[in-house]
Amino acid sequence: MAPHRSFSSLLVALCLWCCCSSSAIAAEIAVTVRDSRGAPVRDAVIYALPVTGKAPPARRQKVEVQQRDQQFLPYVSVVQTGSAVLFPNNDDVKHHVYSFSPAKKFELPLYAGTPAEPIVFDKPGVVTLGCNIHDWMIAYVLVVPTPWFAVTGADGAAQLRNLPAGAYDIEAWQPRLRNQAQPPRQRVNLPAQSSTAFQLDLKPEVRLRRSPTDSGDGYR
Amino acid sequence: MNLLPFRFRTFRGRLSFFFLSLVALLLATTFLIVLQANRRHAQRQIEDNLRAGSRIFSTLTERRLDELNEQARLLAYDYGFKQAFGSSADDPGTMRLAMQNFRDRIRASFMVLVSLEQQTLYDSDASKRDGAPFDLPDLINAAEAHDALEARGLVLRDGQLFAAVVVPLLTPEPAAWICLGFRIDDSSARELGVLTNLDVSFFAQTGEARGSLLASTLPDTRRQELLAAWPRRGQTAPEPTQMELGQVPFVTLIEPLEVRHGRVAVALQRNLREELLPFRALETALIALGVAGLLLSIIAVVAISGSVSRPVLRLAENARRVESGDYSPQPGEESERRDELGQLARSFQNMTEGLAERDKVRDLLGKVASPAIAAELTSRPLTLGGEEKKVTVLFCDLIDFTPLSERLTPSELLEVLNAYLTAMSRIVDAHGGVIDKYIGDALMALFGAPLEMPDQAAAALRTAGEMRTALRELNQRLFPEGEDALRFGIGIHTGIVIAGNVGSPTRYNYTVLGDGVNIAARLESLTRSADYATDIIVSEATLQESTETFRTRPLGEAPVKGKQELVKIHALLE
Ligand SMILES: [Cu+2]
Repeated sequence: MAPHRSFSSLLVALCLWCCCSSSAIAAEIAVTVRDSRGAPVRDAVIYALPVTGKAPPARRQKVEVQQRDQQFLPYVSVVQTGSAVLFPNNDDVKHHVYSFSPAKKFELPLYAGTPAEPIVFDKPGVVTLGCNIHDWMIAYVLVVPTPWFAVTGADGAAQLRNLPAGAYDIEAWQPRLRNQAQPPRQRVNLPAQSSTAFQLDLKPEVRLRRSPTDSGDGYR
Repeated sequence: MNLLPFRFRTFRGRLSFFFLSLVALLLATTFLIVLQANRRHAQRQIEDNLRAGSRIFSTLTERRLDELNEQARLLAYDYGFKQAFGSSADDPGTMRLAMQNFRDRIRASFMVLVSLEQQTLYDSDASKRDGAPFDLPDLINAAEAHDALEARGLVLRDGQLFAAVVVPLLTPEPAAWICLGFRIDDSSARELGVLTNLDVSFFAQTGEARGSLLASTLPDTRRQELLAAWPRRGQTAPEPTQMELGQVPFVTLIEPLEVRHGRVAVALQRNLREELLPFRALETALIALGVAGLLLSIIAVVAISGSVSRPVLRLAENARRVESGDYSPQPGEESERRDELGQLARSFQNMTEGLAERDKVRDLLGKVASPAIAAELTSRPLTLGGEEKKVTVLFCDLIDFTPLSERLTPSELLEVLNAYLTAMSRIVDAHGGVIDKYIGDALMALFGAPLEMPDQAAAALRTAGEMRTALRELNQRLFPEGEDALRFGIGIHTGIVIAGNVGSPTRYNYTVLGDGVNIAARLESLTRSADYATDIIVSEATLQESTETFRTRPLGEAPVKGKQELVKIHALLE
């Protein structure tokens, strides 16, 4: 059995190489996101949709939205449709994670540790996460039908890599985006174009205040 | 000087009237001042109460809205409600039931779920509103503008007044607005009324001329009157004013309320009559006190004026008696008093005694001396010292009286003497002379002192003549056997003497001193000499002084004791 297994491994490796070789012409694009006043926007999701509409290959990802220090981490996640997401609880207290979003309604009643079953996000859309016992806990999972996506950092920059050459619609999304129904979109041709920029119309930031904690250092 | 339209017949009446007027004036002034202060205080206190009530009202309204906000927030975080909302698209019936349940749980009047686009998603009470634009957009706008995405306030909805709050439904980000309303009705007004101790009425100022009453603590009859008395549209009464509701005055404060979707004013009122009850009680007590004070004053004044006027009346009575000559002592309690009236009574008593004493003295003087001297003595200021005067002195003495005195018993003797002196004195008096003194059985009479007398010498001479006749008659009467038991000798001289009071300040006599007196006495003693054979010897000075001529016989010159020169003397003939 062992030789057969090593052969299959070789086959997989070969296939991967083939893919890589076909992306020898693979491109990448740098995207910067600013708000209407020109300030860099963090936690903006950038994702590329092939103009052909051809379903891009599914990329298996291990995605986690953990709870640490009574906050979701990360604040904004992005997954390809069909991805399974785990919600490990790294706090001493229990959490009750829920979502009433149409894209994915689910509920993880009070639990500690990592739930055995991940939640599969099978529809594209925004999933807003909340915790029933910590009103201030909030996080977003954007489910997109593409494997090419990234989240901006504090500098408002993100990089989409390994895209095959071709035309793409690049869309941007942010939790505070005013018109969520129609995210801003830009068409780019790769690899001719190596960068693009978004200016987002954002609502002012409103965050619920945390309850005072036992640690005595006031509000966090 | 009499300012009164009537006169008091008695001092007591005048005194009483004066004091009572004074007391009444004092009481009335005090009463008026206290009354005015009381009224002013009452007014101020009522206005203060009203303002305090108004502040309490605002605070209560604010607090109630806070409370509702709190309750609405709790509801917004309810997981069951979020779940119902999450599945509401498939199951609107469940959603509406859940909303009615929550509405009842916090005793709200209505609950509306509004989309972020301000469309009514679910109205707990009227499904026909579903899908229509929400009718209280101002509230939602206020919530959107607020940091915590919350708004609260008073709203006018379907002609009713509500305390309303808007909170977001967080899943966990705002998914919809929850609007909760609590109707302000009569029972809420009553609750406010109890807490503020005021009558509270809410009044909508809509397009109509007068608007409508939304809620009130007033009974139905008063509400109509309040509606009728309500100020014209848009007017308020930020300062306390008085408003009549069915003839009952109410102190009223009308303040506009901050209300969304309508104009509402609140009237805070206090029944002035009830408010004034304690002050009225105080006034009644004051009046009672004043009347009691006046009555007491009347009693006191009557008593005091009596105690003043009674002794005065008694003194007046005594004075009338004294006036009529009754000096008999009238002991009364007045002289026992220690006050001024007691002093007056004592003085009066002393005066009466003094008068009685003087009358007695004058009487005595009149008896023992001439009434003319007595009158002169009592009328003049009593001073020692005298004046030089020309006086005619008549000196008369019984001669050879000793044998008679041995023959008679002492009482018989006194009787004879008294009869003799009385007869002689009467003659002196009759001719205007005065008896200066009696010296034993001798008698000294003055003419020309103390009273001026133009014909003093003639009067003295006539007196002497009559005395001679009178003695003869007296002898015939007392001693009818015939022998002249009584014989006298008379000397008369006119000369300058000192006339006046002689003695010590406590005891003195009116008399005359000087050579004139001595010469008269000397002439009298000459009658005892048989050589002259006369009982009346007159000096030439007297004869020269006399305005009348008398039958006389010259007796030559006689030496006068202690005098160098000789005096020419004459016998007075019958
Ligand atoms: Cu939690």
